[in-house]
Amino acid sequence: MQQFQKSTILQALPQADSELVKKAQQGNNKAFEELVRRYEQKVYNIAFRMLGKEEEAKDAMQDSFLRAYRFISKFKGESTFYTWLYRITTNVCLTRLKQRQKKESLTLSLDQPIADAEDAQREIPDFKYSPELLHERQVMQKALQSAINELPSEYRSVIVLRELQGLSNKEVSKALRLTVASVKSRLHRGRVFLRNRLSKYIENKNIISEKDKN
Amino acid sequence: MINCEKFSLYISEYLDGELSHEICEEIIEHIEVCPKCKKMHYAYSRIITFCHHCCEIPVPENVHAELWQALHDMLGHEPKKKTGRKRRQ
Repeated sequence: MQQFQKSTILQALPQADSELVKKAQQGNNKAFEELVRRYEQKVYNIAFRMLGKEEEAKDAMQDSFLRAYRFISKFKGESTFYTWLYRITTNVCLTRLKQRQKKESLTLSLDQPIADAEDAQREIPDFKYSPELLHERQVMQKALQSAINELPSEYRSVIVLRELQGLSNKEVSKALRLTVASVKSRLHRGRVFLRNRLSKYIENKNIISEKDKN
Repeated sequence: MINCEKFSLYISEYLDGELSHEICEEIIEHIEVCPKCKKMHYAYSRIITFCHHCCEIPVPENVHAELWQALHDMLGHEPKKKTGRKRRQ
């Protein structure tokens, strides 16, 4: 009886990523679907922050998961599954950014803004804070996304993974195949860039109160 | 001794808590006497805090639906991976 209960409890526990990966590598599609379910939100956020446009983020997310499926047999478990998946996602996004830059250099004149103003101004929902702070934070959210859209791509991927997705420097270094020193250097330069772009929003603005921090 | 130039180099690592106690103390002393660096410190810490508290963007329903449609199309059509393939003797 006790043994039955133990095995039932074990079955009900969520499986570790590594277990699901192993099953997916053996052709278990349900296991792969569970991995997609777990990381859909994260991958979408990376793609949206990197590309700044919903339509492109959607395509990049699909592309990332399809690639992950195709290449999962090559994943050797030297990093966590999610750092491997985020590497695929950032690579997909960086390729799209390069393609976009090529197109823009052909079609845009130099005095036109790089970021698509309409997309940059897109509403990003914010449910966490009181109505008093909501407007101010939405303004800041939009400004932040606009600033990220202008970040050089080598800093952008580090800022998105480190600052917005909360990965450690070591995890970012694995995801982007950089040394930890390079991650730190790009992080610093990215922050300098953001500070310069966002300084007018920071001065005398209560972006986040001490109460919200806790 | 920390000056403004060193401060701007160290600020990122300082805010990430990666510097030694001694250097941190020097930085704190410098911030207290230098209004320019104090302002810079404030700006960086606000940006980092804001980024860390930035809420995640929910996946729009249509984006979610299209992803799963694409996955089902692929998983349904692609042949299952063969495992444990034996070589011919």
